Amino acid sequence: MAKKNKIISTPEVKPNTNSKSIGFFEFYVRSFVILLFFIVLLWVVVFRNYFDLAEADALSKRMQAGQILSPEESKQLKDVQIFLSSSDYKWFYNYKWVYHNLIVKNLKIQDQLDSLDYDGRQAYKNGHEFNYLKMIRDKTPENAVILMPDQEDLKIPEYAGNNVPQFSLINDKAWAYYFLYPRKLVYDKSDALDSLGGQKNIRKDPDFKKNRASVTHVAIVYGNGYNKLNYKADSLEAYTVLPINKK
Amino acid sequence: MLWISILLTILLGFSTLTIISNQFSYLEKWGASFLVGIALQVFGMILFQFLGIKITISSIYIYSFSIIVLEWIYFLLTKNSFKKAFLPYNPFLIVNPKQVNLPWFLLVTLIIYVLWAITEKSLFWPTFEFDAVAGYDLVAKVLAEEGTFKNSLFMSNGISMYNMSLRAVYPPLVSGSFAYAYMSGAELSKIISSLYYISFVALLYALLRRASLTHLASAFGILLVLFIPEMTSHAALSQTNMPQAVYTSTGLLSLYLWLRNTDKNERYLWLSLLLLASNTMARSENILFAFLAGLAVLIVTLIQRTKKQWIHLVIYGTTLLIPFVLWMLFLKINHLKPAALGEGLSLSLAYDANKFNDWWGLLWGYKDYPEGIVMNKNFYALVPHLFFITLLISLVYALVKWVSAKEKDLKPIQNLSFLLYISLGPFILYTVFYYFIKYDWDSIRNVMLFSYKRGLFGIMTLFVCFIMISEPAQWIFSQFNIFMFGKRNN
Repeated sequence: MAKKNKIISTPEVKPNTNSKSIGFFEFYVRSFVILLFFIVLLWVVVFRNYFDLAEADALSKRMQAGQILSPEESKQLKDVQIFLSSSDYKWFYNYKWVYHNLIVKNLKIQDQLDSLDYDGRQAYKNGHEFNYLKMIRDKTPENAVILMPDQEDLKIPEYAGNNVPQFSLINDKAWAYYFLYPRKLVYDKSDALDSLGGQKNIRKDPDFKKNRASVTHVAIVYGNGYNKLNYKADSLEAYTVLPINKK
Repeated sequence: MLWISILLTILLGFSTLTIISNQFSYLEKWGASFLVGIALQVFGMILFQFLGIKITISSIYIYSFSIIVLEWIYFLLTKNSFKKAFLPYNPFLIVNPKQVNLPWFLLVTLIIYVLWAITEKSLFWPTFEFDAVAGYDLVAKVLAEEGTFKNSLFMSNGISMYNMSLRAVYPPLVSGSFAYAYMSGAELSKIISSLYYISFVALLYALLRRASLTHLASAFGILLVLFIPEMTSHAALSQTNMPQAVYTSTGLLSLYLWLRNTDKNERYLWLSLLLLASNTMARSENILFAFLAGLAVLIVTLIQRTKKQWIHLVIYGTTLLIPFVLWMLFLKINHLKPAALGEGLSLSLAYDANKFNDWWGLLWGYKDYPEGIVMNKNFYALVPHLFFITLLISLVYALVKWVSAKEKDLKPIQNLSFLLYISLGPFILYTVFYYFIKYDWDSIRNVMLFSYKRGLFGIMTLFVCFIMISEPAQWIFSQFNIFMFGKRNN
């Protein structure tokens, strides 16, 4: 022990107080008592009585919509209502949420999605907007200059109905650039206009004309964008990317 | 290649800490090595911009390697002990192997499990959150490819690409460190976020131990931090808030250790300098925490008025500001600006009753937002509640002790003041700062509910430090140890 102490520089712990010797067996009995205290503390604060409130909310909405819940679901809903009025919920719910939701539930989701590659996982998070950009990425060379859809191109056409995906993020230049880099992106309206939505257009690009002249591909959304091609396309797809000039 | 890069970063940090002092413990060294190493490398990237050197993995390797060699030459010249450099104080040596601290074992098992789960989550998901995709990770990707911060993210008029807002001109610690991963061949930069977090937990544990906490109390403190809901959910993301919390809390805690004993603990002055100077490269407003630290060093210097302390003050003050000033200078010289309405982040010192009501209401709750941010259990669980209760008990305890003592001892009062300075001090300063921001680029509600809320992560960590270092908590955990071991130590 003396040898070990030599390399202890300044262990700044307070000096011993009430020092008395404790035997091996007695130590473990006492240690076990304190261990038990922490187990109970963690059980009450973190592990016990967790309800996924999002699930309960969904059940409640189903019931309000007139759907009949199974006996287990009804019991679950009742338990949740009791829990919500308890002090356990008031004081400790967030600790339970970290463990059960942020950690355990996430691990389960990761386990289920383990076979997905990074593109698949990105699509899981950012959905069709990422899939659309991935399609552009896969169909264009890295040196492509792509004419992207403007805000007005992203309005869902009246004939399309409710089942078409809604886009918004692909109009955020930096967001789209992240997935398409090193390809260059050009937006006809938002890169060129002096004002947007009644405000000064902070995204106006002083080099718009030069960039517009160097466009190599046009991105099509909802069939919008074919009029920007320098030729008549053979087939009209709703979502695609095409060279601006016929090869 | 990625692992070589990470090892080099750790070696750079380890060497720098070894030069500062051979009295750092194992955990302090290994906890701080990555944090210091990566910050030095990103600082190198800023220097390269001024020297006209392209930022590549080769240039960073040469720069890092040169510093390491110089540091070890200095180490040899000063005849330091290799044994102390490589076998520093081990905080676990005083533990009797026959007496396994079972409750500590339980808490540490839970800590390791949470850390593992967060790391798994971080490495599983690619970067997906908006601020990182249209911000920090985008800057990293472009920087890694183009080798300069003045890159294709800026238009020819110097304004950043839409919709990067202020993120394009943020100080470069986070984006630079992510770029380092990309330059090293990584498919994702997420490993860097994990390393920030793991290093943070190790260093915080080590610093709490130095602040007189028992192993059990240190582990409990770490658990309180790991279960701050909003902070833990950010631990697996690629944003600036978690690194900000890491550097702010460990930097100010190091400062506290120095304040406790300015003669014996000089090494913590330099550790706080490294961490807080690095912090100014994580987010612009972190200059506030640097200011707070600089002010403390100034006050100590004015009290002590020794030649050595004046020299320390000059070194501390200038070094603290260099990274931030250089970055601002770089932006100014190259006319780089954010794509934002107004002038970006600027201040307005005028009193505005509506703004004040919004600000105060968002902090503590009002009719549109009854829960408020600070005491919101969804964000920080019970940490602020425990902090204010502990604060009250500590103040009453200190007062009663002072009044009833026959021989007046200033030390407990001093210790409490230092603790308040590094916990309540940054909280007040940071909160007041958000009142004075000129909100012509975004609403006060948005900025408070996102930036301010996340900016409190570091302060909540410091609140935990206050709670655990305070007399009531120390007394409780001493009783546990006395009950188990028959003495306070361990």
